[in-house]
This record gives sequence, structure tokens and C-alpha cells, in this order.
Amino acid sequence: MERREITTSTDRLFSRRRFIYYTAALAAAAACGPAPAPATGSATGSPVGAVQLRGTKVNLLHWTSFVPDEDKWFKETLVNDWAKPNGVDLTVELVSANEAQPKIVAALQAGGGPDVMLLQWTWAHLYADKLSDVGVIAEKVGSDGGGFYDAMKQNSQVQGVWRAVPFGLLGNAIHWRESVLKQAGADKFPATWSDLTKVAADAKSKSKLFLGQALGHSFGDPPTFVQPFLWSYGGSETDETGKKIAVNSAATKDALVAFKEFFDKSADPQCLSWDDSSNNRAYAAKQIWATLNGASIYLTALKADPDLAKDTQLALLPAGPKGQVLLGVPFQYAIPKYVKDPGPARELVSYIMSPKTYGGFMKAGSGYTLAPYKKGEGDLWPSTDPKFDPFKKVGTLTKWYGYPAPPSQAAAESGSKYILVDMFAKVAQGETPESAMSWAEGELKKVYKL
Amino acid sequence: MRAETHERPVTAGQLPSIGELLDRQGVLAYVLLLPGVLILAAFIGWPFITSLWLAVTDQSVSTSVVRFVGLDNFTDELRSQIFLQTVRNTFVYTGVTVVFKLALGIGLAVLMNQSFRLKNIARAALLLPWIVPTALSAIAWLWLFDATFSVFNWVIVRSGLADRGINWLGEGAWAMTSIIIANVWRGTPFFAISILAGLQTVDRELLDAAAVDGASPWQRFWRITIPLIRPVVLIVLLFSTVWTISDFQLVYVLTRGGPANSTHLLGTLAYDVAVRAGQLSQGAAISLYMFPVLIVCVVALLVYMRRSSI
Repeated sequence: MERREITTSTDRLFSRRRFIYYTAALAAAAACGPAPAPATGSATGSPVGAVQLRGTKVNLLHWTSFVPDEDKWFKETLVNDWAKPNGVDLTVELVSANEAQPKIVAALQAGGGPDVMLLQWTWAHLYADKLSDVGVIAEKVGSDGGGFYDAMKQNSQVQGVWRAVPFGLLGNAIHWRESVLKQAGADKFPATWSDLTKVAADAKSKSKLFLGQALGHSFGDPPTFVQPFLWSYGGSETDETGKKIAVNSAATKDALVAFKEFFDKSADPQCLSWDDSSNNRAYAAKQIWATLNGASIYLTALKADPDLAKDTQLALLPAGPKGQVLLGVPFQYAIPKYVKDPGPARELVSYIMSPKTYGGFMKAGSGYTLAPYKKGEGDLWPSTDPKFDPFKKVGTLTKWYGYPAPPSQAAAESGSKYILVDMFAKVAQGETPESAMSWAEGELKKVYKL
Repeated sequence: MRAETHERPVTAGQLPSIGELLDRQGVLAYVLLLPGVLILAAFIGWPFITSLWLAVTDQSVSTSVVRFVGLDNFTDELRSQIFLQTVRNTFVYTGVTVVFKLALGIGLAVLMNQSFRLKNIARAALLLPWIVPTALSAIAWLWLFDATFSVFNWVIVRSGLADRGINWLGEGAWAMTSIIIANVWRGTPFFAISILAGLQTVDRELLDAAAVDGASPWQRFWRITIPLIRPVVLIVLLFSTVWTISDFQLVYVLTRGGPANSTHLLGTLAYDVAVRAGQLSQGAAISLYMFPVLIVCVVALLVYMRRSSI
């Protein structure tokens, strides 16, 4: 083989031997110098401890909010403020609330899928065996946030173990038009169901607009109306122990009789097919004068129809003979057991739920999603609009599926099957309260295996 | 005809090469069948066996330990009024839609079998409802039946037919009618095109001869055309029954089984119970209730096809 002569300065500089010298020198210098710090999760005061984040991937399954700015916060702010600086490849998958459960079930059954999933209602009880214990994060978040509301804790803790970290609460309020209420001869929104029935009947006869209440198989508006209605008359699925079906009772009958009168006089049968978006559209089109909904109707009107927004007021559900009870839609973050390295997922949840970050999120969403902890109605309250003030009471007044018994798998299953919603829908369709109660009792016995 | 083979004699102790094996018709047939069989086994056989197993256990999304419970899931469902209502719904939905699809399909096929201008374009357009993905067309129907913004109601009210529109999806009987209308709209083209293909095989000479003998158009259609296209009609009928009884998408998008379960079909109820409520075994049992009906349809189809081929 012919030997190549080193003749030029460039050749001398980049000869094979010299290249080895330079490389070795650089390696030695690098070894002696300060090492670049790995991105860890300690920056937010995370309870998770030091977690190697750089180079990891996290897949977050979230619901598509009715307020697009909330989605934008997850897609942009969260990615820019947390994922990119920490070198995390964060995927935010947004699905509609009604489609979230099939995805979650499929992932849990297959043993693979999102690293963090947003649960609704009491699903943590339904999937408890397949969810990691997230007690360390939940305790820290709760403590930093001034304590979780009772309902949020009930939904997330299964037999004393935190299977999810409370994320937030959609507070539903009745959106009503002041002009129509005045037309009906009332000067303030009724405080009881019986008064509302009278006022709404007058409003319907005078304005030809009805109170639109969704009663279809949809995740939010139907259950958040019928369950508080039932509870406020003293009715419930089971007794306080959850061991005895109590739906077929005098209290339930009172509730159903009152509801039938309310529905016939003030609502419209078309509501039986409504889902969570139907009433938003009907209100925006001024086809109805009042409806129970999250603040999205009002927030949308502020941008799209300022006159309608000006005419719109918000009120919590009225009280029944047994008082005022609410059912906000609770959300929780869960980390499935199939996630092999849960560190980054835990770090993400800790980051989102820290009051500082969460305050920013609430501001971005104009307070549509309410905080699961008490600081949310205090320091973090994002709105200066007094119309929003009723929402401050939602966290305290809200109950859970299965109330007054503790949440359970059966209560979650009953909610997923819309048994109470259908009991009310049957009465609205003309079935007698006795028949509807008897039907519900049969179905609940099957669900509760009693 | 005797099958021609090119088998080379193999001497004792010498294994045939792959090429030689594939030259044998018996071996080649199995090799060619294998991919199809594997796909069917993986995507139909395995899920079916899994659902059989699920249906006799107590598996739910929340359970880690699974117990064998025999036929409990099947008997439990018989005590559920939702299930019994769903069975009734499924039979009503299937029965009514199949009859309408058949009648309209034959009518359209006869129409399309005539000579007229733009015949080919009309035939292609006829297939559109069948080609459009069901979920997409169901969303269009959802808007047509929308409680507040229904086009149908707008026409009804504006034309003075009624003071107010129909509560299409909010009242039990109307909701069932709505999903039947949507299904008939979607399924009729399949009948029409299949029957049209059958009509085109009918020998014109037979019809001309009958006309010469004084048979009326109706007699020619009823006595000659219908008997000749009967095999096609029966096959289409059976296929449609199988597809309709196991329908899911249309109902799921339009009503989700509501109001108050008045439009639940076995497919949508099984989904609600298994996926939404997490009771996988119960959901599997509900879906398997379809199996006896479907198996009767399939056996009838196979028997008929075998008889026709003799």
C-alpha cells in the first residue's frame, strides 16, 4: 500500500493522529468541566422529587373544552412553558367529553395509551384497580390550594387511596335572560323550584320562549339537572350506606311530580333529544330564554353577541324542600398503572395543578373550569365580572354520583347508564312517576347487585 | 375435467423442493387460502372467541381477578327492561327497514333498467348514500332532524302543514321513525344496484315472447322477472338483515339510544354497557344475543347458495 505523505499545513492539522489527540483533549476537558444539568421536575416544588424529564415523552388525554381558550392553553401555553423548557415531547390529545370514556376504557384494557388521562365524574372508582396511587401529588396540591372541596376528594379517593388528582369542576348555572324574566313579571330569579315553575310558565306564555333543559344521553347538562332536582326533594338512588336501593320512595315521587309540572309548563318535549351542545345553540339563536349550562354560553355570547350577553344573567339551581344541592362536573387526572415511567406524567400533573400555574389556566379560560381547591374562589378567582360570582359557591354545594352514599363503582356505572336521567325523561314523556320509579329501581338493583 | 398436475416422481429418501410442492394443486390451494384464513382468524375468529369467553365471566374494566359465571350474564339481561326494550327495538328497526329497502330497491332498480338520457350518471348518483361514510351521513341527518334547526320542521311550519314541527329525535316513536328513515336512505342503493345487476341478466327474449303471448307488463314482471332475479333478491335480503340487525353508527350518532332507551339496538346497548359502564362481560353477552339470529341468516344463505349451485 502506498504511504501518503503529510505535506500541507491542513494535512498536518487534520492528520489521523492529531485528530485523536484533539478529541481526547476535548473529552478530558468536558469530563473535568461542569456537567450540564439534566432537566428535572424539581423547579415547581414538585412532590415527585427529581425526575429526569429531558428526552421523555408524555401523552395527555384531555377533553375538548366548550371554551376554546382552555384548549389553546393546553396546546400552546403548557407546551411552551413546561414541555419545551424541560425537553419533554408532550402530546395533548383533545377528545369530546362524550368520547373520552371509550378511549380510556380501550387504553386501560389494552394496557397502553395515554400517560395521563382526564377522568370525569366518579370514574376513578370505576377504574381504581388500573390506576396508580397518586397520593403524594394529591396531598401536596390540596395543601397548596387551601384544601380540596369534599366532592372532589370523594370522587378521587377510593377506599382512602388517591387514584386521581382532582383537576377541576364545571359549574353549571342557569343562564337566563333578564328581559324575558321582566316580561314574565318577576324582578329576580326564583330561589325555589316551585317558584321557578310559576315564573317559567309565565315566561313561556308571554314570550313564547321556553326553558330548555337537555334530557338526552349526554355527559353534563342532563345529570347536573336531574340529580340535584332529586336530591333537593330528598330523593336518592340508595340510602346513605349505598347498600339499599332507595329510589322508589315518597321523596322521589314528590320530585318527579314537581318535575313533571315544571317540564310541562315551562320546557318543551324537544329537550328529550338534547345533548350538551343543543342548548348552547338554542340559547345563542334566542330560541329559549333559560337553560342550565356551564359558563360557556355566556362567555361565547360576550364575543359573538354582546347584546345577548348583556341580557344574560347567571343563577345556581333553585332549592327544593330539602335545600339547595348542586352537581358540578368534576374532572380528575389519573396515571394508569401501565405507564412504565410515571415520573414525567406525575411531574406534568404537579405542574398543572400548582396554584400558580392553575391561576394562569383559570385566567385563560375566564373561569369556565373552576379550581378543585378553595384558593380557586379566593386568590385565584379570575373574573372581575360580578355575573360570575354565583360560581364561587359551586365547589361547596356540589355533591357526587351516588350521593348521599359515598361514590362507588355501582354509582359510576349507574351514571354511565343514565338511569336517573332516563327516569326523569320517562316522566317527561308521560309515564307515571310510579312506573318510572319502579323501572329505575329494577335497573339500579341490577347495577348495585342488590 | 380432470385437473392437470405436473408432479415429478420423487425418489425414496428425497424431499420435494418448495417449487415442486407448490406445483401440487392440493398444496397450492391451502397456501393461497392461508393469508385469508389467518386474517379472518385474527380479526374475526379471535375477537369472537374472546367475546364468548368474556360473556361467561364477570370481567369488568375495574376487575383484576376474573371468575367464571356460566350463563349468569345472559340470564341477568333477561331481567333488564332496557334489554327487553332493546330487543324489541332491534327487531322493529330491522324488520321495517329491510321491507322498505327491498320495495324501494326493486322500484329503483326497475327504473334504472330503463333507457333514458344520463342513465349512467343517475346510476352513479344512486350509489352515493351507500358510499358516503355512515358517520358522516348520520351527522347530516342529525342536522336535518335537529330539535331546533330541523330543515324538515322549517318546511312543515313554513308551508302551513302544522303550527309546530315534529319532535324528531325527542319522542320515542318519532325517534325510531327517524333512524328508520336514515337507514332506508342509506341502505336502498345496495338493494337497487344489486337487483339492477340481476335485472340485466334477464333474457329479453323471454319477456318479448311473453308480450307476444299477451302477458301484461305486470304479469311479465311478476311471473318472469321476479322468479329470475329471486336468487339475487334473497342474497341481498339476507346480507341486509345481517348488517341492519348489527347496526351501530347511525343510531349512535343520531340518538345514542335515547330518548329514554327508545332507540337502543343491541349494538348500541352492548357498547354502552361494556364501554361506558365498564361491564365488559355483560356487554359481550348482550352482543352475543344477536348471534342466534345472525347464524340463522347465514345458514339460510349458505343452504340457498348450495341448492342454487346444484
